[in-house]
Amino acid sequence: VRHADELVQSVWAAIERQDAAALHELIHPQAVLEMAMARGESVRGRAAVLATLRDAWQRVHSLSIGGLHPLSDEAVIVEGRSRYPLEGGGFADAGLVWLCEFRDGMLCRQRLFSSVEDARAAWSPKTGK
Amino acid sequence: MAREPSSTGPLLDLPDRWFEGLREYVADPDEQGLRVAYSLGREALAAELGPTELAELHFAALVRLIDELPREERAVVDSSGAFFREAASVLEITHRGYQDAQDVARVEQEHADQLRRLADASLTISSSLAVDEIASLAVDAACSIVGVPRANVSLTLAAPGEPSVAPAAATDAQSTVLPLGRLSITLTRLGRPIGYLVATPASHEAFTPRDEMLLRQLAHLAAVAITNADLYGREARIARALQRSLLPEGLPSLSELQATALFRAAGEGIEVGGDFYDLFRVDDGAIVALIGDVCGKGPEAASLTALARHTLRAVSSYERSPSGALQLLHRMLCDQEADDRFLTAAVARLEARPDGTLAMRLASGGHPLPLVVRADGSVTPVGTPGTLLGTHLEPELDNTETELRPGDVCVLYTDGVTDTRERDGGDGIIELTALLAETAGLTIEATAARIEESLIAGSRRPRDDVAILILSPAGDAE
Repeated sequence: VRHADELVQSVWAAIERQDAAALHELIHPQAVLEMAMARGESVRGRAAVLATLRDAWQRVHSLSIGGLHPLSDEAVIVEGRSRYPLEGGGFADAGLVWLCEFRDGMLCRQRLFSSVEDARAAWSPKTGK
Repeated sequence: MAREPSSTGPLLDLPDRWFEGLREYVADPDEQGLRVAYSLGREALAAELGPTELAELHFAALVRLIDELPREERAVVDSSGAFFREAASVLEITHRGYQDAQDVARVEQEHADQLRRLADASLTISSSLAVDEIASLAVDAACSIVGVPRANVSLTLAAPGEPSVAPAAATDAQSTVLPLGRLSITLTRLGRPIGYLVATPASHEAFTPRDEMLLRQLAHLAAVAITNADLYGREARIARALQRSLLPEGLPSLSELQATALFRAAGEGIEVGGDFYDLFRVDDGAIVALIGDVCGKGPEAASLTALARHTLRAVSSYERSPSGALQLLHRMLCDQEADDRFLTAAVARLEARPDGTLAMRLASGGHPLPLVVRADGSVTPVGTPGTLLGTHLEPELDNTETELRPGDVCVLYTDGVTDTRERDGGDGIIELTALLAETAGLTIEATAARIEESLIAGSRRPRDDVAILILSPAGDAE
């Protein structure tokens, strides 16, 4: 059984090498992910997530992990940096904090925060929400 | 419904003349009698009598004739039938002529509709630059133009990155009839096949030569559009790859400094231009931030942008004075002997102190002065403007020293940020300063988003590149 901190590194690495096939196995079909490249909006469903990523890969994209803060076997906070395209052209390069939750070994839910403290406060170990 | 016969003119005596003509013909069935019948038929047609009225006219005469003549009824009826057929043949001929004219008009209309649909397809197909979309539009057009239930386009284009040359098998565009009456037309580029348009007719129908001609025409224009789109896509991919190679690496994660950047090039679909920024640690542990703006646009500006950024990055590793680094860049630019090529740039060197503050030395070569937002909301420019780099004039460059405390934010930007507002009738620097005064306490990402939303995204499409680099000490404000 792979824990969240391992899984999230696999997801990040697959995004960096633009490996859609690997991501297909790592992203839950019903995933709901807040994505910086979607202006922080929630992207629903694996197909939509992959479409958003493909669009970013065509333009400017990079992702790096600065630190991992495991919350449980299925939840982890990721500190890192991302360079992502902006709507209407150009790109941003920003430090970001992601709260990632996995189900059945696949990334199922992702939320964006401005600090690790905010992400930790938002996570509920009982409900996983 | 039969109309009432006209009650005026020669029609009044038409029944009598019809009767007389019929009687003479029955008595002596010859060509002369039939000519009379034909003449009467023309009169009836000119009087706009319908077939029913004509029949009534004829059989009224026939009844009168049977009463008069002692002949066998069958012979009389046969002769009168011949008489009537001759009269009615006028109507038949006219009707056939009318039908033929209608058929011709219908075919012409259909022809015109097909050509209009082909013209429409030509417009939509040639305005697309996406190969998949063109293939889909060609399929829709094939179905619409020749009224088939199914069509498809299959392509044999080279994959991205491979030479765009198809096998040199078939040469000219050609059509082939496949089983079930399907028609396959080769899409060609410079005589080489790049795919096929296959149309399937409705069951028990076959394509006419005209259908084939239209489908060949459609295939030709689709092939031209696909060729153009393919070339455009390849050029765009090459341009993107080159652009990416010119962009700075992603900002580093630094323990003593938070940083965020935002970049937008003015050109459509372009991701690198004359603006540049960078942030990196040098060997002595200091952090160097730089931002600049090259005069001009296009590939030459982009190449100078990369040159300036790499030069500043290289000289900063041994030149601790920001003004000294800019001076070296100036010398290098002058050595390049580039025509009318100059730039503005600002370099900041930051050193962490044990108390969490950052000592900042900054020099500007004609670049907009960075704005420092203090934790209390005050906003002040830092540095002295200096002069342009790369011109024949010796630049005036000075270092300015200041301190960034936790909670302070330093915003380095290019004039594209403020120019967008000035073109909209505002004062860009005043507006940026006012905006930043409201961002005290926000994260640097939130500050960047505010600038983008308020000054850039809210404005018309920037004519100049926009670059913003925002820095802040990593510790929390007291």
